[in-house]
This record gives sequence, C-alpha cells and structure tokens, in this order.
Amino acid sequence: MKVWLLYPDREWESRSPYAKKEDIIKDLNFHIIFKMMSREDEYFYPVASQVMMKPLLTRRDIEYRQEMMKDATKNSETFMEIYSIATSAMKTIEKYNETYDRRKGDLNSGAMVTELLNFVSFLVKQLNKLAYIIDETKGEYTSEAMKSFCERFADEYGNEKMKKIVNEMYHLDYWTAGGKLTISGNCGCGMKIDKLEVNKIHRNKRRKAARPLNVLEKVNIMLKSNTFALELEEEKEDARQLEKIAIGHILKVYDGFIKELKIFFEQLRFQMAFYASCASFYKRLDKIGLMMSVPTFATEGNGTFIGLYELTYAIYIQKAPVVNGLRMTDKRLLFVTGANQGGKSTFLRSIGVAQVLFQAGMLVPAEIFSGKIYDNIFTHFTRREDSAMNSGRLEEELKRMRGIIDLVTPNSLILLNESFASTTEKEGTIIMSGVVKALSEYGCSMYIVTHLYELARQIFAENLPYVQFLSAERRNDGKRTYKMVPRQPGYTSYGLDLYEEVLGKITDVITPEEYEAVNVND
Amino acid sequence: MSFVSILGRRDFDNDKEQEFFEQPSYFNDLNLNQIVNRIIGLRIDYDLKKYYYVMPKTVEEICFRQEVLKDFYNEGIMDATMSFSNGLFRARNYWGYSVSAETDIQQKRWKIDSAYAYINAVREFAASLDGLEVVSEGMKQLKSYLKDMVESKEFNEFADETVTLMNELFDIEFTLEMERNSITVIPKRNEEHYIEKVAEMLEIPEGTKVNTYFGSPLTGALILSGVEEKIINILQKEYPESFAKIDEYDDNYSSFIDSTLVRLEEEMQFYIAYILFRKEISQYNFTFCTPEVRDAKDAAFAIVDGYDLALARKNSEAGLKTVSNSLDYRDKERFLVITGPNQGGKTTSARSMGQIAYFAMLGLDVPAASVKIPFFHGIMTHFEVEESLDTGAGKLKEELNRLKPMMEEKGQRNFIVINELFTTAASYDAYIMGSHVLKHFIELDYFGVYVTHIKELAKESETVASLVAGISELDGKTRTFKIERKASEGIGHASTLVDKYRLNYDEIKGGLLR
Repeated sequence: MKVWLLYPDREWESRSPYAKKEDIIKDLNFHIIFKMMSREDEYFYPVASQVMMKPLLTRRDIEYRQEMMKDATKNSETFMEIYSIATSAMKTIEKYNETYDRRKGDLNSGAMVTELLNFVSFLVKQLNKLAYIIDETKGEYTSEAMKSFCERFADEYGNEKMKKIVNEMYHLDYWTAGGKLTISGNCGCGMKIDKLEVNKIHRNKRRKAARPLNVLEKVNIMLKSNTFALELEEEKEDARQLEKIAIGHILKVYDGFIKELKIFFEQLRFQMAFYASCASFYKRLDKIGLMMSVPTFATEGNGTFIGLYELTYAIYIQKAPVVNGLRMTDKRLLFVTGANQGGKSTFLRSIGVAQVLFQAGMLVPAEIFSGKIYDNIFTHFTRREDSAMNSGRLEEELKRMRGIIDLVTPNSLILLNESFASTTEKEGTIIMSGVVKALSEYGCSMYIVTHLYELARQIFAENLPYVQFLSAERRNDGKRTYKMVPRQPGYTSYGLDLYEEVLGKITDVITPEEYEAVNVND
Repeated sequence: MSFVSILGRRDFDNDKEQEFFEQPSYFNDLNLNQIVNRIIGLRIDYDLKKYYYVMPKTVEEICFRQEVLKDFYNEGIMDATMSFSNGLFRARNYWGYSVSAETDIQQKRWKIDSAYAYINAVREFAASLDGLEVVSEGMKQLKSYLKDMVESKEFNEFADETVTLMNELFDIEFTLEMERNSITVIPKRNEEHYIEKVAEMLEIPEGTKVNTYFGSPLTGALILSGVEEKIINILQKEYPESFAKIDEYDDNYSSFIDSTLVRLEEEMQFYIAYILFRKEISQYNFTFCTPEVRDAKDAAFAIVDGYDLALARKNSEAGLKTVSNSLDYRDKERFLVITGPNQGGKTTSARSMGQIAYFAMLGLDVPAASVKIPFFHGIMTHFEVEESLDTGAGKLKEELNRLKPMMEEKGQRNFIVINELFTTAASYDAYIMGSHVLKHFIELDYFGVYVTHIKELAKESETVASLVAGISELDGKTRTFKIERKASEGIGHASTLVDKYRLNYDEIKGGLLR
C-alpha cells in the first residue's frame, strides 16, 4: 500500500536531493537543527537530514506537507505510536532478512519455513494493531494526507483479506500439527520424481504429537496395495524434506506480499519519523520561546521576510536573537557589505536556513516569510577552518565554485559568504566579478556577503535594476547593531575599529581615495 | 567421413603431447592476460587454453579461421551452435550419471535421457545449419558432416526408437497422499491447483510469474532416495509395459555419441568464447577489423586506429574514451622508436601493437579500424619490471638476463615489443646497448616497436622511424595520447588555477549556455 504522507502522489525516494547538500549542511549549520529534531529517537536524525535536504519544488507539495504538519503537532502521541509499530515491524523484517541471507533464502530448510511462517504472522499482527489505532483516531485528522492514508489502509489491509491469509497460514502449519499433503508429479530424468505440484493441504483440527505406528495401523497400511509406511528414519526424513520443499514452494508465492509489506512498513516508519521529529522540534523551540510561523508563497520576485532570525544561532544561545527584514520583490542580486562582526554572515545564514525549511514544508523562524521556490540552493562560504591564505585554499574554493556552476539552473539560489577571501582583493575581485556577472545574467538569484568593496562598487556603478545593496549598520561611535540597512557600498569594513578595540589606534591611515589612487597606479 | 577441424588444424598431436598449456610469456606485458582470461572465462566448462595459447603455424590456418569467424558473426549460426553445445553438454552429463548410477533402473533411464538429449541436439543443429547460409570452408565441412549423419539410416532408427520410448515415459504420472507415517501412490495426476488458489487470495496481478511446478529435492538431484524407490516400485506394477520397454532399449544400444562431433564442438568454443566477449563489450562500440596477413618478405605492416583493448575496456567502464593511433612501417623500416612525455601514451600504443599482432596471428579480428600485417612466428616482449629492492646494477643484470633468450632466438620472423630498456644505466651506456639491440633485431628482419626516453635512439634511418607522443598545441602540456611521426624533442609548461577550473567570465557563460 502507498503511504504517501510526504508527497500527495508518491513515496519517499532519496534520489535528487540538493545538488550540494553537504555544503548546505556545513555552511548553514544544519546539524544543530537535525540534532534537536532527533532528541526523541536517533533514527530521526538521518530522516530529518534526508527529507530536509531534498527540496519540494511545487506549491502543491509544500502545502500538502504544511497541512499534514498541523495534524502532526495536534496528534504527536498517536504519530509516535504509529512510528513505533512501524519500527518494530522493520526490526523484525531486518532480523528475518539476516536469517534469510544466512540461509541464502533456502526454503528447503525447515527452520527457514517456520521462520517465514512466524514472520508473516507477526507482520499481519502489526497490521491489525495499526488498523485499531487508525480506526480510533481517524476522526481527528484534517489534512488530506492523513485522511486519504486512513481510507487506503482500510481498503487494502482491511480485515476480510487478512482473515483469509491468516486462515491459509493455519493450514500451512500442518506439518507441525499433522494432516495430509497431496502432490502430483511424473518421472523425469534419471527416474527422479519431477514436475511436482501441490494439490491440497489439510491440517488436523487438533494437534497430534508424532508417534510411531502401532501394529493395527501397520496392518491397515499393508492391506492397501498402493500405500507404504514410513518406517526407516531415512524414509521419514525424505518425506519431511519433500513436504518442506512443497511448503517452501508455496511460500514463494507469498514473496510479493511480503515485499509489499516490507516497503509499506519501511516507508511508514520513515515518513512518520519525519513528522514526529518536526512535532517534537516545534515543541522544544516553543519552550525556549522561539517563534515559528507558517510561510506563504511570494507572488512576485524573490519574496519578503519580516522578523527573520537565524535559527541555528538562536538554538545555540537558547534565546531569540536580533531579527532582520528584507524585501526582494523586484530584486535577485543582493550585496551585503559593511562592518566586520556586524552580523552579515548570520543574516545570510538566516535567509538560507529559512529558505530550506520553507522548501521542506516546515515552519520558519520569521514573523512573515513569503518565499520563492527554487530548483536548487547552493552555498559557497569561506571555510575558516582551512588555514590561512595559501594556494591550496584558493584552489579548494575555486573547485567548489566550479562544482556549483556545473550544476546550477537559472532558477537557483546561491548564497556566497566571503568567497575568495583566500586571495588578494584584486584577484578575488577579478574572479568574483566574472562569476557574479555570468551567473546573474543566467538568471540565478545570488545573495552575497563580501569584503570585496571594489567588486561591490563596480556592480553598483553598473546600476542594474535587480541589485539590492545592504550594509551592516555601524553607528558613528563604532557600535554594531547587527541590523542590515540599505547603503551604497563603501571602501572599508571598519576593521580598523576592531583593531583599535583590541590593539590600539593606528594613526597614519591612508584614505579610501588615496588607496584607490595607489591601486590604480598598480 | 574425412578428417574435419573447424580450427583448420592439420593434426592433433599437440593435444596428446601436452596436458598442461603454459601462458605465453608476453601475456602479462601486453595485458593480454586481462583480455584472454576473460574470453576463456566465458566458456569455463571447456579447456580453451590450448587454443588461445598455441598459435597457428601457417597463414593458411589463420585465413581459414578468419573465414569461420565471419560465419560466427551470423547470429543464427551463433545461436544454433550455443544451443547445440548446451545439448551436447547435457547428453555427456547424463551419460556420466548413467555410468555411475547405483540402481539398475536409473542406469537405464539416464542412458535414455542422454540419448534423447544427444539426438535432439544433433537434429536441431543440423536443421538450423541447413536453413542458414554458411560461407567458410570450415562451416561447410561441418554442415555436410552433420547432414550425412542425420540422414543415415542407423541414426534415424536409433532416434525414432528413443523418442517413442521417451514420450511413453513422460506419461508415467502419479499423485502422492502424504501423511505423517505413510504415503499413498495413485497412478494419475490430481487436478486441483493449490498455488493458483493462493495467488488469487493474495490478489497477485495477472501476468506475474508464479511457478506451479517444482522439482524433487530428494537426495540431491541424481540418486534415487528410499522413498522414490518405493514410489517407483508401485509405479512399476501400475505401468508394466512401459517398464519392460526400458529393459529392451537398454539391450539394443550401448554407446552412441560420435567422437568427432565432440571434438568439433570443443573447437567451436574457440569462436564462441571470442564472440561472447565481443558481445559483452559491444555496448562500448569498439572498432574491430579482420587483419590482412601475408607471409612474404615484403609484406606490409600498417595499423589504422589501433588501440589497447585492455585499457579501452577499463576506460569505458569508467566512462572514459581511449585514444587510438595509426602506425605504419614504410619501405625498409623495421622498428618504430617512440619517445615523448611521461603518461603520454607511449607504452599503451606499443601494447596495442602487440595485442593486434597476437589476435591477428591467432586468426581473430583485431582492435583497430584496418590492419595489414606480416605473418609472425612469434611475439617477444621485454618490459621494465616494477622497481624492486635491487640495486641499479642488479636491475640491469636482471634486464639483460631476460633479454638474452630473445637475442639468442634465431628462428623465423618475430614481432618484438621493448618498453624502456636500461633505465638504470648511464645514458651513454644505455644508448650504446639499446642501439646494439635494435641493430640485432633489424638484421634478423624482425619487426618491432621500442619505447624509450633516450632520444638519440630515435634517430631516423632507413630501418628506424621516430615517433613522438603528442602534446596539445593549445596549452603545450595536455597529453593528446596521439603518437606522431616526428623527430624526438623535449617539453614543459604551467598555468593559473582560474584557467584550470574554467572560471573566467567567458568560460562560465559559454558553459552555462551550452
């Protein structure tokens, strides 16, 4: 049966995640979010990371999940219960698979057949449990996802079919209980019996323990001309083996049914895990006092964000941080320059995190978030952990940039944070201006935090209609507010302030104009 | 019927003399082991080493094989041969079971099974070949051999009796009612079908494969178990006439498998294995051609677009392309000396020539677009071995030791592949020794290819041509892997990282719009 809780028309598949999801996780600190989502159960971690790193690409898909999210928060306990049933089913399936592999699927072995019989009846039991829960709670759900899930379940795993299967399984158990197996065949190559077919299986109502024949029974058998008794141990074993292979042959017919159940439980566990992890996540955020809201869809351009904050940082400091806003309705190229330590990177990350949550169908850390749906999100952050300025680091950055360009589509969002800080400003500017020009002309949306003032000023001079310039605010007294304000790009990131703060004032400073003059002469 | 060999062989003395066939010494150097092991491995039930390790002794044999191979490219012939092989394989197995059977009834029945498989295989093969057009002398001989056989009175009487009996045996049917302590045998089939019932209950969609029948597991697949014996005893009473016929048949026929046919079938595996290998790599669209082999003093040697098949196979698995090269010997030229940058394709091209010579001499098609090649009595190679712990002097000695038998061999024309001789010797010494080796082989009128870093050896002459592994003219450093005729020279270069990652505006833009 199709689970279809993550998408309205398909099951979960790990294929086609964000092209550079490892970079997104690293650059936007997503591990902090995954960790918090998986406090209840460690299996939630891989689930959250996989689901969130595979973007939803249509409004329909996002709304489907947003709706379902409401049922998940309202019925978080039921969801956990369904998740646990699916989990125990999966564990049994995995254990069975191990046995199966160990015995190489050899249904000739009697132990394997018994194993399989137990296994199928366990799965059927789990289905019955699910049926009970679904029946109890089906009135509670408002989302399309849950409502149609309940309907499909009643349809496909309803009691009638299950009852029949359980009954047949009862007869298959004839060989431990005693009964009669009828098979037909002919003599094949080498006179071996061949082309065998099972005709009938009948199990005795009451179990009878195996015992040797008494004299009367033996005589009875001898009187029938075409019957022989199984007296030698060898013969008994032969007969039992023939029975086993017959039963094993029948059980192969159940293969498809078992496979289907396996996929069902696997999907159910995975999909339920995602919603259960979200429900627990929101609850925890609520406790710290972090406000989350349902995002909406931008009608034009790249959207508007109000009261946006950086979620991973907020989780880290356990309180609500500074909020920022941004209007990109008619823009798709954003330059953020300005004071060092002014919150530029945090601002960029807050946009990225919210965008990923939005495209996962989740709530977002903002008062208002009206977003655009991108095909793909790329991040290109300078990696500070890589030691100082050297060619190895520049090469690493160039390589990552090449990787992005190889995969980018016009409807991609690219977040660049201090890219090419690993080389001289002059070289960095040359590289970046080529990259920014080519990609923005291609149609990409780019949000850029940079210290390359020369580059920002060049772009500013071009007076492109789709560019927005922001700067981290620095009051005249040197104090940072961590707010981004619209401003024409200047020459300095006021790093001297920091220098002064830490090490004392430098007196003989050349002006930006003098610097410019020197640079031109260079 | 006169003597027939599908390999164009004149005698089979070799088969008797040699039990064990050793891999030729040049196999590893030319990476032929990778290819030939795979080819042989595709027909693992046959010992094909003797056919792949021993070369034909004359050009006539080579041409004979080339013709037969063309017939095997015909899917119909290939399929017919494969199924003939399978049938004969079964017949031989069943015969073996009969010989080793423990009970009288099994001994007799396996023999009938063997005869039945044999008859079907022979008749089907003869009929298939009859409907197919064969071109080669070898296949024509085989076809007529088979035709004579299946048209003979002896064969037909034997076949008719076998088939009639077999049909009767198939009709010995039964139903077993199995209870804990007894089994009842009823001499006909029960008409209920349990599996179908289950499939219906599980709502298995129509068209899904559900096996109704299964085979006996009792005491392996061969010997009758105690229970089976008892079942058969009862059936013997129920079907007395059929069982009497089994005895009668056994008295009439003792052995029936034709030994010439068995040998032909084994020889055909030489072609089948090769074709199966070609099919396996067909997805990569490699080019192959039938080489023109001549046994004459002035025979031409020219390769168009030859490539290293072992490398091409590996590259293709990794999605990479392999460069091919055209190489030729003009007039009196006897040696191609290849110099050029490391990793530039020198060894690969030398290897590809060796591979082409091997397959050409074996009578098979070669990895190239077109090939003219003289008849070689043998192939000899000398490759640098991996650095060992030996000192320089030790290594040089080891090289010379390996070279010695090659230099002493003074037979008919051979093909020589030398890869980096004397790398540990001083350049001057290496040059002197190297040119001496060249001269020696040229005087013997051998052909060869010599890969070296000593550019003086590449000095062109009437008998030596200089070839150089190419470098892109655009940047002066990218290897083209093309081997070109020109005087030996030197190289070197560098460029910026931005270029390397193609990250300037024009290249990004160009790439995005493509």
